Amino acid sequence: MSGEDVLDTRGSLCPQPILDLAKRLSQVPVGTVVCVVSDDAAFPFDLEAWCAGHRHEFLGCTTQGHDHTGHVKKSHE
Amino acid sequence: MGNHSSPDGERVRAVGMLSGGLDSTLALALMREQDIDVVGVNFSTGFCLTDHHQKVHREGTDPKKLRNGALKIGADFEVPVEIIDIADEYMNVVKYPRYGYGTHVNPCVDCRILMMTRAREFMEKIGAQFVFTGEVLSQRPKSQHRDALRTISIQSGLSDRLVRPLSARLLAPTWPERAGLLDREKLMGFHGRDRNPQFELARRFGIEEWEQPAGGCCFLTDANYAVKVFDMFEHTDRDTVTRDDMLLCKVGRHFRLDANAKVIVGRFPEEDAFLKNFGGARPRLSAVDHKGSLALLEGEVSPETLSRAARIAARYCAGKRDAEVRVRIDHAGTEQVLEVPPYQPEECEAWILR
Repeated sequence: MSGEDVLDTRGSLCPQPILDLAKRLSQVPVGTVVCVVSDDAAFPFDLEAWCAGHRHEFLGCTTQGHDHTGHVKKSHE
Repeated sequence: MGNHSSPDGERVRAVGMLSGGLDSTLALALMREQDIDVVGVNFSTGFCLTDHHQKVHREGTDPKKLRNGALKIGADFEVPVEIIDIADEYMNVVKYPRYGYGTHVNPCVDCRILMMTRAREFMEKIGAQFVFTGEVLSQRPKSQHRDALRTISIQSGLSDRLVRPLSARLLAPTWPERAGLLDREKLMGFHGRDRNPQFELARRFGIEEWEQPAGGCCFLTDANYAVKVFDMFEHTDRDTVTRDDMLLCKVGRHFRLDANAKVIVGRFPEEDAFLKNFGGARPRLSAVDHKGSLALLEGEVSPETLSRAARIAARYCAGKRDAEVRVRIDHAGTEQVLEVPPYQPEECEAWILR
């Protein structure tokens, strides 16, 4: 597996975190795990849904306070 | 079952404009029923109610209610959904709609033309054959009567590559139908505002969850919001109106003091925080000795307007029945305190925009 890439989107609200993630995934090789941090309340739901639609692997999302940290593995080009 | 490959043998691919509402969900279901390969698009205009509720996130709000409905539908149908940010160019549509406004400040025809133009560009980029939407003939008075649908098709450059599956049988056959890519008989003939046919179709597809109708989730169709925006257009050079100016019209009570000055007062703590974040260089006022709302003064800053704004801020604090209230004013890096008598409710009633 390639290394983890961290994307901190705190301060921006939907859809920006998802737009940022889509852009980052387009720039990294297949197999890369991108870690996305967001303080958007709906982010865990949007992230999982976006991954399901785009068929990237959703590895989970944890919450601490207002911050959500999600992990996504790029599954295809 | 309709054909699911084009005459040259490639799988038929379409771009679906998805809001997460019932109509676009049903349109998607009808396309998937005909085995069309769908890529969804969802536009971020900056005027979606959900976006706003995220920005003014009241404690206790179920975060599930804030999620993006189009992404959820995409996940349910295993369809990728591209989010396209059109917020910047959308400002011009709102300020200068070629086809005018609907009942409020909703430039629905121009809005649809912009979105469908971007959908067409996306269709061309990914090599899809057509675009479909959840529009229903005559469901909405401004943008869904027959002439408006035709105008939108033509002005977006999509012409007969734009399919409305829910009303297709009442409309002229589109290119995908004529080319045999879509079975017209499996499309619908819905018309008007009655939603029962949609509910019945939803039951047939087993669809149980959807967001409220798209038109109902757009701030621009809100009567109170329109009053504030039109007031701003009347008293400001429309060219200079920014996205943040438009955002500020979404929150608080607005008091039009005169042609040159307006005061905005938060109604709950989250709105106060919003005003603080998006207030820019406007003077901020709040009571010194009492809990109360944040107020912004917009427009002319003078001793008189500051005093009147302070009296309004005093009216919306816990000391509103005191003879005098101390109000702090933060402006341009300086701070001053005014001691003012709070306005009585009837004194500022006439200035409220609603």
